[in-house]
Amino acid sequence: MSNAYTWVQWNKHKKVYDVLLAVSVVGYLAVFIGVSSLTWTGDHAVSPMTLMIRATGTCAILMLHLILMMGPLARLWPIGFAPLLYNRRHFGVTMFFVALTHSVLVLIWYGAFGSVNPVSAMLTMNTRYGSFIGFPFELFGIAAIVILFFMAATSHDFWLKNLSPRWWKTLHMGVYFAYVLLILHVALGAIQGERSVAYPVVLGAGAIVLITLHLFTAVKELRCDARVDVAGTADDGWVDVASVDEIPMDRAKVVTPAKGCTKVAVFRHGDGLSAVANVCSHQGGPIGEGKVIDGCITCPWHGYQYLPHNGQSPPPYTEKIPTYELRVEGKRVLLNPEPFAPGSQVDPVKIGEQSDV
Amino acid sequence: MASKPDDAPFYVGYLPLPAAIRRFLLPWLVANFVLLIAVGVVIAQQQRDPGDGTWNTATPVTYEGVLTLDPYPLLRVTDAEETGGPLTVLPIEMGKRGSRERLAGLEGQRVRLTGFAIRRTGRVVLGLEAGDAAIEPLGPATPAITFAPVGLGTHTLIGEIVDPQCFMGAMKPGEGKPHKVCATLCIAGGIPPVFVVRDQAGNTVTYLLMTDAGESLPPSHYEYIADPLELTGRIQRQGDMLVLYADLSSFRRLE
Repeated sequence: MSNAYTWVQWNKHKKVYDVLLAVSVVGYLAVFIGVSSLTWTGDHAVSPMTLMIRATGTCAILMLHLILMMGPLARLWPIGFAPLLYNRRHFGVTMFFVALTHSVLVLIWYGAFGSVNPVSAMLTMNTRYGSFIGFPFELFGIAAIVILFFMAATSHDFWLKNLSPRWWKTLHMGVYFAYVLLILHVALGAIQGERSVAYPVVLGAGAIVLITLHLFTAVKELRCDARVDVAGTADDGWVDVASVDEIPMDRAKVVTPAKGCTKVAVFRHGDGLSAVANVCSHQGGPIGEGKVIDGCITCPWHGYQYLPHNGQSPPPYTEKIPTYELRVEGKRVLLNPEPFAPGSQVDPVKIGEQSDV
Repeated sequence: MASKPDDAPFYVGYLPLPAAIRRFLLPWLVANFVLLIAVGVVIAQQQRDPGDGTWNTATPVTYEGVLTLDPYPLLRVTDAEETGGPLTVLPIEMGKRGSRERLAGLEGQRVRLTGFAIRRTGRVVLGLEAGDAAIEPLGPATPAITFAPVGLGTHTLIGEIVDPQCFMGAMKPGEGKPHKVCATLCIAGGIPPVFVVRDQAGNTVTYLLMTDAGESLPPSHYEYIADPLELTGRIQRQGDMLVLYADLSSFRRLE
């Protein structure tokens, strides 16, 4: 969290995650090169450098598909897929380095040893900018690697904090632009040089799976966002958001107090209730899907923690989220939809007590 | 007013992994790994044949013959070991450059060239070794050896312009759109362009490509390199080599 920056805050899960990632990448490259070498042998062998270019290129785009699947999967099945999300940035940075290896090998193999420098060769030796099918596909790859570079370079929490989560998230949504560029890069490049139908089928299947997952997730989230979970509104503007019994111990009910309002997470902990904004200050994670652990509201994405009574991370950490007032009338929980500034003290409302706010 | 505690498993990265989540994730991870490997196998196994070209970078070879420079440097060997007859060797520099600069002044001379051979379908490209020893002038050819050209008529062909260095074996594969930048770089650097025509069985016939006036392919037509192309031209057999004198106005891309 925010008390001090280190390269990686290692823990057992990150180590296991990274080992599995490394084994998968090395395994894929070994299988690709091995199968290629067994398929085309002797005088028909593919050049080793070409094999490396193809192995790293296909590995990178496969990794990108897996990365882009994690977000929707973790929204559709939050409990099971949360561990994939936890260390996704390591996956992304690894993918960037695989893609960068592919790019550097391409520059050396296809662009070097000529009368112009390799980058100039990539930009000037194919000038068919007016054609779709003949378009210089290398440009899509170059643009994508630039986007992926900025994402990898700013992946650390230092940048997240200093750019602000909003701008950081916006920058990192560039991955979708990079994905489109890479689909074009492959479709107008490598696939043009092959004859097997397997290539467009595999690429198309990957895109269809990704698009379908995102559409399902978008529909689910939009429905959720559109739902206003208010049973009624009191004269003072407070809204009736839940029955006390609806909220499990150490968990929250997430409510939208009014159309267009930020979602609020109403947590039950100990013998009281507290309400905080449903947005983690770290990466905008859904706090309301978290759990109270050791007296702290814990975000399901990266485990950032906040004290229920003031929305502040326990010292030495400094994150803060907005808090809300609650009162209990009988079994009903009422919420003041106006948030307090992040980190504001709001004492938990005791269950079974009539609050006089 | 005790509420029933929520017993759903909850994941926190720095806490032990709940067993239920481990049971959920393990099959997913295995399936992912299997899918990754399966896709790798399919993609690798489905690659097209890169051709049977070879590039021997370990053992230099020497060819002796008569050198012509226009429009491209060619070494005419009369009784080559590999053909038992005439052989036209295309001398180039190692890298993506033609050999005209180093061979300047040797037009019509008998020379001995040493370099590394790139071979495919009977054609030989010779990447000259570095240093003066790679080019040994042996004096004027007496008599000048030329292959009497045999006209084979005017034809319309469908194929692809490639650079012979990569296509013949320096890069495998060295053709098609993924190789367009490299092929253009090679031809722009002075390596003679070759027009490759494939039959239904995938067998290739290669033609040294020049204009109908016998000049080198102009830069204005480099854009056609590596694209599926139809063109018309006169075909001539010069010894072992087919030469295509192409009408530049006939170039038509097939897309």
